Amino acid sequence: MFPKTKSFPSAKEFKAIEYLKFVASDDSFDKEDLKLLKRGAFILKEKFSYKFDLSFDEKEKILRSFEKSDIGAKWLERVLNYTLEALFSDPIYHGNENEIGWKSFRFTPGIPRPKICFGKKYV
Amino acid sequence: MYDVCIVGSGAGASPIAYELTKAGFKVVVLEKGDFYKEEDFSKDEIAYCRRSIVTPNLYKEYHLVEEFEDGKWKKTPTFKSKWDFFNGNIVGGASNFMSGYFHRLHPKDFRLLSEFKAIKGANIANWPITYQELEPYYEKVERVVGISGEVSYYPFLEPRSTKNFPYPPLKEHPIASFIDKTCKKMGINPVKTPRAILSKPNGKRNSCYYSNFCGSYGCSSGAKSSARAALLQKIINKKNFTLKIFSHVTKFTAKKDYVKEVEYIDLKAKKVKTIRAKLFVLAAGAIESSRILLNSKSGYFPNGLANNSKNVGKNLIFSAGGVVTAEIDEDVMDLRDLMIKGLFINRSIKDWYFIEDKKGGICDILFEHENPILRANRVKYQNEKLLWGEELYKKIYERFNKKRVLNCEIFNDWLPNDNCFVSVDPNYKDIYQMPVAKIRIFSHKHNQKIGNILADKCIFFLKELGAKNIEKFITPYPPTNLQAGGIRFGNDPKKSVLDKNCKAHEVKNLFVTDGSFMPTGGSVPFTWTIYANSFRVADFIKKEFSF
Repeated sequence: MFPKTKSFPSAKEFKAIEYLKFVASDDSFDKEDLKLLKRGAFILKEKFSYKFDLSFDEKEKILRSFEKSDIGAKWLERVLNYTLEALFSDPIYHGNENEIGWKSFRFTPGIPRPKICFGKKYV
Repeated sequence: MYDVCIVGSGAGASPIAYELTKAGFKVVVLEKGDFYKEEDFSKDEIAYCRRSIVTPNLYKEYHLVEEFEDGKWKKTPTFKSKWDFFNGNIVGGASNFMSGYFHRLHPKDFRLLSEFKAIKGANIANWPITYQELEPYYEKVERVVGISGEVSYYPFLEPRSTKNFPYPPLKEHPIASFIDKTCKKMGINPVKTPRAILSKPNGKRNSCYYSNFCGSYGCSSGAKSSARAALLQKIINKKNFTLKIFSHVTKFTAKKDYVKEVEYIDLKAKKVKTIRAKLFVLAAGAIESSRILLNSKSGYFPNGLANNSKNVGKNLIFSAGGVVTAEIDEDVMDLRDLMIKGLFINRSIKDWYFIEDKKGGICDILFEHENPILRANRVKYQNEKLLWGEELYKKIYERFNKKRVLNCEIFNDWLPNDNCFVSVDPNYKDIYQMPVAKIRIFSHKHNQKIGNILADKCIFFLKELGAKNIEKFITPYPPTNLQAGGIRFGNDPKKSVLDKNCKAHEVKNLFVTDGSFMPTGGSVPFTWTIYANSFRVADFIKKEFSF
C-alpha cells in the first residue's frame, strides 16, 4: 500500500512495521484495534491468498476486493491510520526513520520534541 | 482537618484554591491525575492527541452515552464508540489543553428567558446574578490569569470596567489583514479574539513562543493561561496549601445536611482514604461532578448529595454549533505568506450574536491544527473510497504545502432540555466499582437551526474572501470538551441545586464551581466565565466564612 515513489518513501523505509510493533506493545494501544489488525491479516492471507511476492497489480486487486467486505474495509482503514502514524510521529516511536516522513512531506515538527514516549514525565 | 477541600484542579477549582490559600485558609486540592509542569510537555501528537495518556484509559473508566436512535434510547459505552468525554486529568485539568479563545458572555445571556420568546422543549432559565455582578471578575481573570487582546468595536460589545486588556494582542498571521478587509467590504466588524495566552512574560511565565502546536497540547513556556500555570504554580509552596495528586474522588459522606468527609482512592498506594474539611468545593468538570454527587447517597440524601430536589445532573449543556471549513491557496494570497506557521489569526465575528429577535452566536476564525497524522488521515478517503500509495501521498503533500484549511468555528446556545442529563446506572461501573456517568444527549432542533443560519453567513464571508471547497458541518453531536450545566444555580431550591453563590441549597458546606452551575451557556466557549465565577465564589467564601 505504501511503495517507494519518486518523491516519497516506502513503508519499509519509514519503518511502519517497527513502529507498529513498538506502539502495539504499550498499554495505551487500543486492544480492539490490535485484535482487528491480527484477524484482518489472517483473513487476507488465508481467504484472499495474499502473498508478498505477488505483482503490484495482483496485490492491489486483492486489497480492493478485501475492501468490499466489512472487516476488510475496517482493517484497511486501521492499517492506513497506523501507517500514517508511523510516517509522521516522532522517530522515538521507531517509525519515521531519520525523519524521512517529515522531510519528504516538508513538515516541520513542533518544539519541544518528545524525549520520552507516550507522554511520560521526565524524571 | 482542612478548612477547605477542593475536588479537581482545573479552571473552576483553581481560583478558589488560589484565593483562599492567599487569604490564609488551610486548603487541600485532590486531583486524580499527575502533576505535569512546563518541562514535562512536548509537541508529541501520539501522546497528546492519539492515545489516552492525560485522560483515563476508556477500558478502565468510561461513560455510557444514551442517544435516540430508531425510536428508542440506545446506550453505548465510550470504550466502544471511542467518544471520549474526558478532557485532561492532570493538575490544571483541561485548561492545560485548551486553545484559549476567550469571550465574555453578553449581559442578555444572564436573562435569556426574559429577553427572548420561550422556546418549546427548552428549559431556559435566567441566571440569579447579573452581568454587572460578574464583570469585576471577568476583569480579574484578564489580569490575574492573563488574557491578551485589544478591545474591538462590534454592535453588542459587553460593558467593560477597564479600557483594554492588560496584555497586548499576540502576533498575527498576514491573513488577518485580508480577513479585516473582506469584513469591512461586507459591513462586518472583525473582532480581535481575546486569548488566554500571554503576549509578554509575567513572573515565572514566559510569553508565547508561537510553537504552532497550541490547542490539545500542554504549553512549554507557561504562556497559556492554564489553571496550573496561572494559579496553582504560584501557591504550590505555601505552607497552608496541599496538593494531592493521583487522588481519585469517589464520593462524599454526609451527616444530615453537611458533608463530613470525602472518600478518594490513592491511586499510587491503591488505598481508599478520606479527608475531612470544614468546607468542600466540587469542581471535577460538569459530567464528573454530577456523577460524584449522584454516587454520594446517604440516609438524608437517598438520591445523592444535594439531590433531594432531584435536579442534580439535569439540564446538562454543551456548546452548539459546528464548523465551516474552507481552503485558502495562492489565489487568495502569496503562498509564502500563507505558509507562515505559528502566528495566530485571532479574528472572531460577533456581529451575529443577536439576529433580529433571536439569539445567534459567534464565529472564531482559525487555521486547522497543524497535527500531521490527523491532517493526513483527513484526506485518506475520496468519494468513500480509501486511498493509498502515490494517490494518497500526493494529496497529503498538497494539503501540507499548497494550501491551508481555514475554519470558521461556530458557537451558539445548546438549549437545556429534559433529554440532556447525567445519571448513574448501578449496572455500569468503572474499575473502582463506582457507577459511571450515563450521559443522555439530545440536541434541540433549534440548536441546528441557529447553527445553520450562522454557518450560511460564514459561507458568504468565506466566498468573499476567495476561499475554495467550502463545507459546513452543523451537527446535533456535542463537542466533548465544552460541557457545562447539570448542577444549576438559581434562587428557587425546587428548580436548582445551588444558590446564587454556588453553595448547595440543601447542604451547609458544599460549593460547586466548575461549569456545572451554568443554567445556560451563552454562545461562546465557557472557560472565561468558569474562571470568573470561581473568583466570585472565592470572594463570597472569604467574606462569609472564617475558621
